[in-house]
Amino acid sequence: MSNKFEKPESATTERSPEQMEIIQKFEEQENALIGNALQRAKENSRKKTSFKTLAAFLTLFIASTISERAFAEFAPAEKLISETKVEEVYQPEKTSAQSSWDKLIDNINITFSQKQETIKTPVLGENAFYQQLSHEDRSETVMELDKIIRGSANSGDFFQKLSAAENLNDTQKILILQNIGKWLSQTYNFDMLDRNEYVVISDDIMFENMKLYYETREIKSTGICGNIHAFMVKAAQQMGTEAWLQSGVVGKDQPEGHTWMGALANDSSGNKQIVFLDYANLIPTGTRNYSDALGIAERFHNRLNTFSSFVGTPEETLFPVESRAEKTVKEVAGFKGAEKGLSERLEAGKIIRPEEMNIEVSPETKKIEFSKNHLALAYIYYKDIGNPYQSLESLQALRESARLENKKFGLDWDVTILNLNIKDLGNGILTQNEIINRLNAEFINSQELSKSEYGKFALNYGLTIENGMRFINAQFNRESLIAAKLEGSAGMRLIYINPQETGKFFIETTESGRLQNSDPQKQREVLKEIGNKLKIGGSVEVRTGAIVNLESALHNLEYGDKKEFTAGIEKDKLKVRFGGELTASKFEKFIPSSEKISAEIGYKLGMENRPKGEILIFGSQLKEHYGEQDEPNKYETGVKMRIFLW
Amino acid sequence: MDDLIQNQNLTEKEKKILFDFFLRLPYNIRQSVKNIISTHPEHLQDLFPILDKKKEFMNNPTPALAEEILRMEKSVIDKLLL
Repeated sequence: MSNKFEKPESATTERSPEQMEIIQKFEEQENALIGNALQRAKENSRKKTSFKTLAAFLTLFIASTISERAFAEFAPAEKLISETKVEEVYQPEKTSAQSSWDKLIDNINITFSQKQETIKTPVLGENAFYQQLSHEDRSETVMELDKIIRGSANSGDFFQKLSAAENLNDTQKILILQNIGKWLSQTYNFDMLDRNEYVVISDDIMFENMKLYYETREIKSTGICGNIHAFMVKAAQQMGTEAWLQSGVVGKDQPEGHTWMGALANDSSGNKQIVFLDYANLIPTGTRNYSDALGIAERFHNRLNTFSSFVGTPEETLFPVESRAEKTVKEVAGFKGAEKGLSERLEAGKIIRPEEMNIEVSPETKKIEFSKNHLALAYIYYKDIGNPYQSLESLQALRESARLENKKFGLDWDVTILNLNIKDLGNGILTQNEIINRLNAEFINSQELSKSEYGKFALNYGLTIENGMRFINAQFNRESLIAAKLEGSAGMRLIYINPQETGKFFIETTESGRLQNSDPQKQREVLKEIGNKLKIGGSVEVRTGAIVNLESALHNLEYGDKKEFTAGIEKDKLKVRFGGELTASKFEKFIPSSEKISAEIGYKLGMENRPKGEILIFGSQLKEHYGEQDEPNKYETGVKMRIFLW
Repeated sequence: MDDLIQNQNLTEKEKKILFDFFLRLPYNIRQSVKNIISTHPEHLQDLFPILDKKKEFMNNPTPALAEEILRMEKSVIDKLLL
């Protein structure tokens, strides 16, 4: 584990040309001394054992020169001397066939974790939603809608009359929208679909063609899913219902991109919940938790949404939203977001390539991952433990990663083959195979800015681009590409190290963007700013020998603000850390405001400065609320064991 | 490697010096040195003063220090070649 005060590799000690010359001359003289000693030993025909003793000592001379120079110059020892030089002098006997893991990897990490949350079983289905709506009320609603349509000459009239129907209850309003969806679905424009034509259709055309169909059953095309549901959202908003557009991939046999609508509504029992309307199909979700509601929609559509799930208004696509299944699949496929990856590299000042084995066990997930040099391989098995909002029943995945890098540029290419079992809304399971491709390109540079008696300044800066592509039916070709994402992040970290090297302070900024559709109707690709981050922190060695770390970050995100804070202390073999995260969402319908607190305590095994291992106990509590509704608290606890091999 | 160092008859300070020395070596060289120490532990006592001097020299290289180190190394070689 690296010490917080270790100097970065780039921060080499500056030597004057005279000093370099003295060192070079010394190394030449030492080499000559060693060569001369070997020659003298051979000439004297020393006994083999004595010769080996001498050779062993000469090896120590060379090794000590390399090690001390490497340490003074903060340069990898490999750069200073070729290893063969040592081997020429002394050929080590073959070591016994002890564990060879240490030749393969640096660490073995084993994590056991468990999540706890209270899940209420939702009452799903259209009948349950309308259960308390009487026949009279149903008839009254349909007659009211009939009156509104027949009495309206254009969309303006129609919307105005709908706004006067505010006294209807939520179930009646949803019934009206369901009927509008039913009639408009008959006006679906297949020509537009065939031509991949994405245009805005005027509200007047939408209304006229709907009215024509309603009154005469004559079909005149309007638009495609985005146009129809955009009109439905406007109708809902006129009635005072909070409504929006949701996009995703649907279709059991032939998956395709789709847009439908969502709304907040009280059901017959007066409980507010998210309902989705896909034309005339009503999908009550029984929850205000948006991520969970998406899980119910996925079960309805028999498709998972990876990279394709966005919320929006008729005028604008807002941001991506994730179901539990999408989070699981992205994690399995190695996605962590461009900003997070960049931030790790800005801290390290270099491209990080761990060589390790990770084993993770939780009640839902079993994972084994091995990474070495340019390759990594992971096998993940996930099985749901009866959560109705998780649309995945189980998955098996195999992820293979190729990693290429030089000092400043890195490229990760992960290909994950997934076998998915997806729940429907009954007890059925659908099996699907997919391939997810992840391409991550990164650039990082580290530069020492100044070094003086007042301390040292260094600047790390970099750029990361994360690209994802999802291929259905396990076919790795253009026709099977069903969804994609492209996200980029650029940032820098300025570091100051005090003259005594007992304190290190930094300030970090990042800026991130993503390619996405402009709006649900025109669907033009635009670059959208995801957000920016300002992070400050420091670590200081205090007199007792303990190291104190403090960090805080402020994220300005597309959906609100997030503040993070961590405080830690390390002393001898013990490490303690506390963290807090506060999210204030401006879109609480979709992304909850939340408070998260976490803590971990770690203990090093073996020697303090080079432990044999580490045991880390961690835990967290998460409180979320969607609008006025608080979610039950979520807890996570776990133990992580790290074994260092060297 | 911890065991190897712990098993040597050394003071804590010497163990620390040896430990740091190991840490800074590339893998292959470290293997060679491990092998030497396990088979020739008697060399360690002659190694520590040289390691100390080299540390001083690499932090502040002067011709005088270079000469002193070479003299120390030569003296050990001469002893072994006697």
